[in-house]
Amino acid sequence: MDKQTEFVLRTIEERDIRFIRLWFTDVLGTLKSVAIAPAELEGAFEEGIGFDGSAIEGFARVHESDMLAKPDPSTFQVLPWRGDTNSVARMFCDIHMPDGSNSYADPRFVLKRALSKAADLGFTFYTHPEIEFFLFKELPPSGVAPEPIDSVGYFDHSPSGKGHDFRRSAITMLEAMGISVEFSHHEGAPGQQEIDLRYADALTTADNIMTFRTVVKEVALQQGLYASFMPKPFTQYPGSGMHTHMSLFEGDKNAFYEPGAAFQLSKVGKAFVAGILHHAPEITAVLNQWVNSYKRLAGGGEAPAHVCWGHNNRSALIRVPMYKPGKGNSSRIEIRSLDSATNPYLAFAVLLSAGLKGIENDYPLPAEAEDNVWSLTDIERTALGIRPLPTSLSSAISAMEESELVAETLGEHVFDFFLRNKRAEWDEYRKQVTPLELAKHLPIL
Amino acid sequence: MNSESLSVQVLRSHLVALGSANLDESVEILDKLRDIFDLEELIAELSLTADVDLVLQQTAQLVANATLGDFFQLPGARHRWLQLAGVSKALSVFCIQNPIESMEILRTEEITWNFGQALSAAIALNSQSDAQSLSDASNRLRKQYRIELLKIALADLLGEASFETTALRLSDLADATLEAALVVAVREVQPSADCSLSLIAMGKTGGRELNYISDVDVLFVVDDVAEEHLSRVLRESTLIAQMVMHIVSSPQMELPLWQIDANLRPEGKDGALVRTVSSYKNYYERWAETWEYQSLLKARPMAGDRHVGESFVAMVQPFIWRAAERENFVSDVQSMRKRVIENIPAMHTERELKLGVGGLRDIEFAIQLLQLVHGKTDEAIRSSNTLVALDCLTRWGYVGREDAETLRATYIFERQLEHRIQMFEMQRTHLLPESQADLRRLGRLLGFKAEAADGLLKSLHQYRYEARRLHEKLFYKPLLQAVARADSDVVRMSLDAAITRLAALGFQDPEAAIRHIQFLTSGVSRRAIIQRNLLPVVLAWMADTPNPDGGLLRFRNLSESMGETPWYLRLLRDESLVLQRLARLLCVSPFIASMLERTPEAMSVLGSDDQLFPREKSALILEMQQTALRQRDFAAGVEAIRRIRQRELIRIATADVFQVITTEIVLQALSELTDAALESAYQSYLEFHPGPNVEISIIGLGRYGGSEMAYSSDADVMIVFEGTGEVESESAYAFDFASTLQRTFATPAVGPTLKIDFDLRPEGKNGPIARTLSSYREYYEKWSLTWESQALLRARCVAGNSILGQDFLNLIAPLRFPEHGLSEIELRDIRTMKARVESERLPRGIDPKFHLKLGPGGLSDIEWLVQFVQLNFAHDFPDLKSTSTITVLEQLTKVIGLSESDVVDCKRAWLLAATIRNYLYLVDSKDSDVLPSQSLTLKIIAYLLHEENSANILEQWMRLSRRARKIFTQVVYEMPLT
Repeated sequence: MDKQTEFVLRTIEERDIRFIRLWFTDVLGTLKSVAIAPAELEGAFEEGIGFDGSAIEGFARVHESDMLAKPDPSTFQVLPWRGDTNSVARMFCDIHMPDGSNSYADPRFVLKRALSKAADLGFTFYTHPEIEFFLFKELPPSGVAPEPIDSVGYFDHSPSGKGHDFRRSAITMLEAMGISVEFSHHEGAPGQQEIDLRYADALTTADNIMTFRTVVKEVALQQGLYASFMPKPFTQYPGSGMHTHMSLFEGDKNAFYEPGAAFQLSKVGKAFVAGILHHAPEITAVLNQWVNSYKRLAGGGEAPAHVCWGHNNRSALIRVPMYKPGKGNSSRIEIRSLDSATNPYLAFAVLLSAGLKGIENDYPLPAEAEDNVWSLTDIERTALGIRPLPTSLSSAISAMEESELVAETLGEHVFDFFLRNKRAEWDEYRKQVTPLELAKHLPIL
Repeated sequence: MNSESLSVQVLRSHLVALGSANLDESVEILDKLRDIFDLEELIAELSLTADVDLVLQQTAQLVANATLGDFFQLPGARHRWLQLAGVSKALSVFCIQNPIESMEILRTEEITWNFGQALSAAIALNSQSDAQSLSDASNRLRKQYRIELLKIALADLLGEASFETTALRLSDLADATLEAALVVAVREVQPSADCSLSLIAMGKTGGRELNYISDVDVLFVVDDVAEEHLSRVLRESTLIAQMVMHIVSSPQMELPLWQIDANLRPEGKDGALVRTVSSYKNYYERWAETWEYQSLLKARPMAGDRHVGESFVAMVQPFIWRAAERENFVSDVQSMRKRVIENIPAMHTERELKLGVGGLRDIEFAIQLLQLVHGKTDEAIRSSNTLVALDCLTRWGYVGREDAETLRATYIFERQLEHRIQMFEMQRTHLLPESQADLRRLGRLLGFKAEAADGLLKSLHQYRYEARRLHEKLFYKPLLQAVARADSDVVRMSLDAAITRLAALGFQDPEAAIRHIQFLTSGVSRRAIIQRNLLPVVLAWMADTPNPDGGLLRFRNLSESMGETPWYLRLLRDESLVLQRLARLLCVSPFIASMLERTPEAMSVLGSDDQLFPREKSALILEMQQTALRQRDFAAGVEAIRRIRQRELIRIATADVFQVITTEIVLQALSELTDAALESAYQSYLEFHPGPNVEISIIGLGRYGGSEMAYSSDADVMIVFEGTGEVESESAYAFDFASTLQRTFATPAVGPTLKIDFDLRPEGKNGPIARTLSSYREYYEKWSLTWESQALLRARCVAGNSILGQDFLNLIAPLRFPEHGLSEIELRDIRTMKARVESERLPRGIDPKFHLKLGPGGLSDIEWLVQFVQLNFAHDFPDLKSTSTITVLEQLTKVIGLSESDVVDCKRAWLLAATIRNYLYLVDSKDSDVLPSQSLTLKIIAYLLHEENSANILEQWMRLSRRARKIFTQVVYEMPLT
C-alpha cells in the first residue's frame, strides 16, 4: 500500500494514539464520527468499518442499510485538544457499499465526482473560504436571545480581548492540525468573527471546513463560550457568510489569469462566472440550505440577493477582486451568497459544475453591475437584466427541482433526499407563528 | 564450374531464386565479392540464410572495414558470419565496428562460457595506479557484455542451444553484468564495511528466462544494521544502487545495455530505492497488494551480498504463499486478469506477442496463479521459472498433461519469435513487424521455407488459438481428476486443493460445487464421459457470470433429467455455441432453466443467432393449429399449443439475454406468441366442438392489446360474438368457449400457464364473459365511464373472426377517440382517478421510487401520459390511433409540442423499466416490479445490461424516472385543456 497509510500506522504507534475517530459528513453537512481502536485500523483501511447507514441523514433506505466507512489516510491528523498523552486522531472517510462500490449518498463522493469531471477537462479546482461565525456567552435556553461576547465592530480591537484570545487559540489549534489560516479579524456585528483559510484544492478545503467548525466549537467550549455558524442569528445585525474565492488551475497555471484582459480575467474565468450566474437560482438551495439562510440574503449590505457580478462591488453575487500586479496565479473570483452553515462538499460540487457548464457551453458573460444593486429599484434591475436570487427556501427548492445540472452533480439519490428533506423543513417553518406577527397583529386585529 | 564463369546474369537469376528483394544492389555486391569468396559456395550458403540482401550488405561492409586474412576461407567462421548477418543487423554492425574481437569469436569452434570472469576482467584495474574513470569502466563493461551477447546469439542461431539454455544464459549474463557494475560502484563510493547490498532479480531475470533485450527488474536490499547506522548505510547503498544503474543505462560512448527497472519495489516510483530486509518485511506484512506477492514469486538473489539476498528471499516466502488466503484475492486476481486482456490497444491485438489471450503474459499469469493458489500446501510447485513451474504443476496433477504440452509449445514458439524479432535491431519490442520482408525473414528463421511469412502467421495464429481454447479449461480440468474416485496411477490434486481453487475462481459454495462435479462426472456411463470432457469449459464460462453456483446446480438438474438422451449429449459435445449459451443461461435465469428442463429439444435454438429471431406469427399459427388438431381433444390440443409456446418463450428469452433482439422486439414477440396461441386454440375449438352458426372474436386489451406484453403479463381480453340464430344457445356456446379457453391455458401442464383475464369487460366480474356486438353497444351508450374509454384505447383484435373484430373496433371508436376530446368533467375525473390510484395501488413498505410499474415515472405514468393525449387528441390526429405506447410517444412533439428530448427521456424510461422488469422475471422467476437496491439479483441484472457497477443502474433509473415523472406531471396534471 502507499506511503501515506504506512505513515499513519507508524505515527499511531509512535505517538501512542489510543483512538482514531473516523469522520464523515451526512447529506445536510453534519459531521459524523465513529471511534475505533488502533488495532481495527488496518481492517478499516482494507475493507472499511461497517455501520448502519439508515441512522444517518440521507444515507440509505432502512432495509438495505449496511455501509462501510473507509478512511482516507491523506487526511490523518492528531486532534490537538485531546492532549499529548493517550491522544486521539481523526481521518475523513469515504463511504462504500458492501460490494465495494462508492456510495452515491456520500457528499465526499459527490464532490469527488465533480472534481474528476473537472480533471477530465484538464482543471483542478481551488477554493479559499472566509468563514464568519458568532461567539456567544453561552447557548441560551430556547426562546431567549443569545448574548454576544462583545459589542464592537469590523476590525475593532476589543478591549476585553475575549474574541482575540479565542481567535488566537482557535488558530493555534487549526495550524496544529495542518490547516493554514490566512487572516482573522472581528467582523461587523457584535461577537462576530471571521477566519480565512489558506487556499487549497476543493476536497481538502471542504474537509478543512468540517474540521474548522469542530475546532471552533471545541475551543469556544474550552473557554466557556458558545460558537455558532447559524447564518442569521440577529435581525438587526448582518449574518454569517462564507465568501469563497475560487480558481481553476491547468497544471501550475491559473486558468483564470490572462494578462491584458479586463481585470486580467481570462476567457475561461469569464465563462466560469457566466456559468455560475446562469445557474445561480437553481444551486441556491444547496449554497443556502436553511430557512434561516434567506434571512441573511434578505438583509442587504454585504449579502447578495441578485444575480450579477461586479468588480469590487460588494452587493454582487460574484465579485472579481482587484488584480494585484505580478500575482497571476492568484487570479480568482469570489462567490458571496454562500453561508457558513452549508454542506461544503455539495456546495463546491454545484459551484464547480455550474462554472464548468459555462466553460463547456461558452456562456457569454453579462455586463458588469457597477452600482450598489440594493439601491436600485425593481424596475431598474429588470431593465439591467438582473434577476433576483430565490427569496426563500421554498422558492430555492422550486428552482432546484427543475435543475438537471444539480441532479446530475449531486446524483439522483442525494438530489431526491435533499429536496424531500428541505421541503419538510419549509413545511414545518411556514406553520410557525412568529414574534413579529404577534407584535404587529395582536394589538390591532 | 569455376566462380569466374558465373556471369552477372547468372548471379541475378540465383539471387531471384534466393528471394532477393533488392536485386541490383545485391548483384553488384556479389559481383564484387568474387575475389574473396568462391561464389558457388557462397550462393549455396546464402540459401540457408534468412535474408540474402541483408547478409550481402553486411558482408560488403565487413569486407570494407576489417582486415580479413583467411577469415572467409574457414568454413565454420564463414557460416557463422552469414547466419548472424541474416538475423541481427545490430550484432553484425557490432562485428563490423569491433572486427578484431568479434572475428576471433566467429572463428572459435568451441565457445567457452564464463561471463563472470570475462566481465570482471573487463573492469579490473590493471595496476595499483590505474585510475579508471567511471565512464571508462562503464564503456568497457558494455563492450564486453556485447561480446558475450554475441556468443550467446551465435550458439542460439546455430541451433547449439535450446530456447531454455539461451534464456538462462541471457539471465546469467545480466547477473554477471550487475555483479561487475556493483564492483565498480563500490570501488567508487567506498562504503563502510557494514553496508552490504544485495540485488534481487525479479520478473524474467528472476525466473532465469530473460529476453535478448528487456528491462531487468531489480530490488535493492541491504542488511539490517543498528538504528544509529541506518541512515548512513541507506545513504551509501542508495548511492551505490544509483551508480549501478548509471553504469548500465546512462548515455555513454558505448550504447546503454538496458534499463534497470526498480519499480517493483514498495510504493513503486515513490518508494525508497534501497530498504533493509526488515523494512521490506514490514511493508509486505502490512501493505503489499496481491500483484506484489505474485511478483515476489520470481525473487532471486542475483548480485552483491549472497547472504543478504538469500535471507531476503527466505523472508518473502511466507508472504507469497499466504497471498491466496487474503480477503480480496479472488477479486484481485479477476481484475488483474481482466487488465491483462483489456490493456492491449485494439490496433495491436493481432501483432502483440506479450499481451492478449493466449499471449505470453497470459500464459505466465495462469501458471503463477496456479502456483499462488496451490503453492501454500505444496512446496513441489514453487519454482520461479515458468517452464519448470509448468512441469512441476503437471507432474503433481494441477495441470492436465496435454494442456501442459500445448502451453509449453505455445510459450516456446512465441518466445523464440520474440527473440528473433528483438535480435534484429536489439530493440525491446513485443510487436510482430508488419512488412512482408521482415515477416519473411522471421518465418525463415523459425524454419518455414516456402511462403515463410504466411507460414509464420498461420502457425502463430494456430498456437494462440490453441492456447486460448485451453486457457478456458486450464483451471478446471484438474478439478475433475481431483473429485474422481477411480484409483489410478495419475497423481491427482487433493480435494482440499480443488475447493481452494473453486473459491479462488468465484464460487461462493465450493463444497456444493464439488458435489455437483462429482455427480456429473463419476461413473463410466457415456454421459459421465462426455460431461468429464465438457465440464472444464462449462465451469469456466459459468465463473464469468455473477452466479456460477446457481448455474452449476441447474446444469446438474438438467443432466439428471436429460442425461440419458443421446441427442442431448451429442448436442453438447458437438455444438460449442449451444453449450456456451446454455452455461450462461443456467447461471442467470432459473426461469429459462426450468423451461429447458421441460422442453430440452428447444435447446437447439441456442445454436445460432438466426435461430434466435422470433418466428413469424403465421408460421406459428400453422404449426400450433396442425399440432393441436392431431390431438384427441381440445384440452390435449391446448397442451400441445402450450408446449410450442414454451419452446418459443425459450427462444425469445434467450435472444433477450444475449441481446440478439431489443426489448421492444421482445415485447412484441411475446404478444404475437400469445396471438398465435389464442388463434390456434380458437380454430381447434371450432373443430373439436362444432356448434351453432356463431362468429367469435377475441379482443386484446391492456399491455397485451398494445403488443407490449412482458414475460409476466396476463392476457387481458374481451370476447365478442355474433350469430344468426337463437341467442340463448349461441351465447351458451360463446360462454363455453371463453371459460374453456381460460381453464385449459391455466391448468398445470408442460408449458407455462397463460392467465387469460376477462376483468376489463363491461361490469367487470359481474358482467357476462362474452357479449354480442349490440350488447356492447347498448352498454357503452348507457354506462360507459372515462376509465373504460381509456382501457379501450388499447383494444386490438387478436384472434377469431377478424371482420367481427373490426366491427367491434368501429363500435368503440367514438368512445376512445372522442370527437371533442375529454369534457371538463371527464378531464377532472381522469386526473383525480390517476392521483388516487397513485396513492392506493402502491404496495406498503416499498420505496415508490423503485417501483418500476407504479412508482413515479414508471411504466404506468408514461402509459397514462400517452393515453391521456390520445383521449384528447386522437380524433383530430389519426397518427395517435395506435395501441403502442412507443408509437404514440413519438407523435407527442407534433401533437402537444413536447420537446424531442422529453420524448426521448420518456421512451428511455419506459424501455428501461420494461427491460429491468423482464430481467427481474428471468432472474427471480417471480413477478416483481421492484428494483432491488443491493443483491445478487441486481448484480445479475447489471451483468445482463453490461453495466459493471450495479449502483449505476439505480442512479440511471432514478434519473430517467424523475424526468419522465416531470413530463408526465406537466401534461397529465397541468396541461391546460378546454
